[in-house]
Amino acid sequence: MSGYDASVRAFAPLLLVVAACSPGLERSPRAPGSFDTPWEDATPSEHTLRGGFAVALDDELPGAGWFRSKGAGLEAVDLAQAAVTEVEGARWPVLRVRILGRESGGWTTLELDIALNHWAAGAVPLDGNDATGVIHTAAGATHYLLDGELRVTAAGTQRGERVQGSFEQIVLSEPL
Amino acid sequence: MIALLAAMALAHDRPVFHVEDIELWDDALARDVSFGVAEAGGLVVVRPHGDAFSFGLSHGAFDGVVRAALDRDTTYDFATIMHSAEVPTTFGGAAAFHLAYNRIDQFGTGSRPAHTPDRDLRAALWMNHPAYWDDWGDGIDQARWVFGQELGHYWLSYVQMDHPTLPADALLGRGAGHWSYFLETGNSPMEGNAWIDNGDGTFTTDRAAGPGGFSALDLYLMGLLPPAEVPPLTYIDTPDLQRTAGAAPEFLRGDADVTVSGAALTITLDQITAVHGPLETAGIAAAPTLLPVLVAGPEEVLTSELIDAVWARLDQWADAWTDMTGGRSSVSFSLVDEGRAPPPLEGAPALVPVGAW
Repeated sequence: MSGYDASVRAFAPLLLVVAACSPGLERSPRAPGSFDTPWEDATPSEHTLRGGFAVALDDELPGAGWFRSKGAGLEAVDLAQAAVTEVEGARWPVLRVRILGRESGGWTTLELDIALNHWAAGAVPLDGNDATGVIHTAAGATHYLLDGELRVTAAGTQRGERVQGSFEQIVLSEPL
Repeated sequence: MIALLAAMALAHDRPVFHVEDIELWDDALARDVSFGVAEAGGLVVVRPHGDAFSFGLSHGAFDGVVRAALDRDTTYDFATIMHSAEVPTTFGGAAAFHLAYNRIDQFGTGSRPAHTPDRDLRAALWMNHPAYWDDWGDGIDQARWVFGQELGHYWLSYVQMDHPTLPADALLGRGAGHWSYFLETGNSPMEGNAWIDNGDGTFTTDRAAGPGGFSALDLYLMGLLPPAEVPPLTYIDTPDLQRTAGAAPEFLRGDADVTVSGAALTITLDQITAVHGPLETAGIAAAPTLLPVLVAGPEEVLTSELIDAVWARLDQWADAWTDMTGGRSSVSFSLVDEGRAPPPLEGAPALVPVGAW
């Protein structure tokens, strides 16, 4: 028996208990992997972001969403999309909310990615652990969301259910 | 104008039509509001971000919706705007209205120069929300009739005449933008009335005839009927002061028919063209294009039921327009695909929070 096997078997009962205490949440049976964390290398700017969204999960119809930066000239007001996505190698699916604004050169988007096990009504830290976010502008710039809080007022998890939230004073990274 | 019509609405406890070219109050706040635009189910969906309608429907809010919706490559003749029930608009109790932008094909009194020479739009129609029409007036027929009036305002009714005994503006009624109550119009969408000659010097409105289509004069002024097919008009010249030329057609309000004493006078098309000259161009009346717009609340989640309800009204109004023009015109509410669909939310998340690993 390898050391790795022993550690997995020791933790297995704990993992099963965690799953039993989290009804309604999907948990991937795969072993946890690792993913890039580009926000950790980003430089905080003096600019902040605020916005909101209200959208039905996996809906073909566009939801409502908007964001606007204080400084940085970032804005999108046109629509929002939301979905729960299984991620290979991740223990928990990710709830994705994308807010879009159409511009002459394409779309400026903000994607909020929230670990489904941390998705609930109330305050969700945008700290990279519970949730994170990134803006891609139509001009090709990237800004990470580095600090702040997402206030969730509707925490649907199933197709067609409403997800709704807002955010203010979110610290933005310098553009990449 | 707004105050007057609102007072009328309150006094009569009835919906009041707004005249064309209404002066919506200026709202500097609404001019600073941003409007999100998306496409859904063949409609342009506009969402105000901010308190666009905090003062009711102001010019700034309405124009903001129009500008946002029309920021497209394709040119449309008109915009037809409905809103969801969540949008809290009020405008003096009116059911709907027509706001002119470029009244290029208007024929008649008081030329209305282009309001917006930098934009191609002829006019925008505000048509309330789909369920509003369920209980309005006598139901489906009158809702269709209102659409006919609002779109008809692009051409009607603004003409004067050179008549030997009647004043030059005798044809005109409410707000100088509809036919006189005393003009025989067969219950045209542009008002006037269908009248029954009782043969004893009295005339009675004919509510039972129901909402009618456009009259021959209407169709001529729209460029849809040649002058030779416009018969003489009948006008009831009455001293009855209880009914004014500007009164809204009472048959829409469930009142009893009205009988007046007077004389039936004849008006010919020549007496109208003597003032304005003949209509020289058919314009766009045969096949106008209308951009279909839905205003939704800033946090409203759209439903297929709402989209379907909007289309049910648009289809109803398209059929009504064809009927009311005697098959001489058909409107299109088709939204031209300009490749504005957003990228689908597919594939892997942009980022995976550590807590999900």
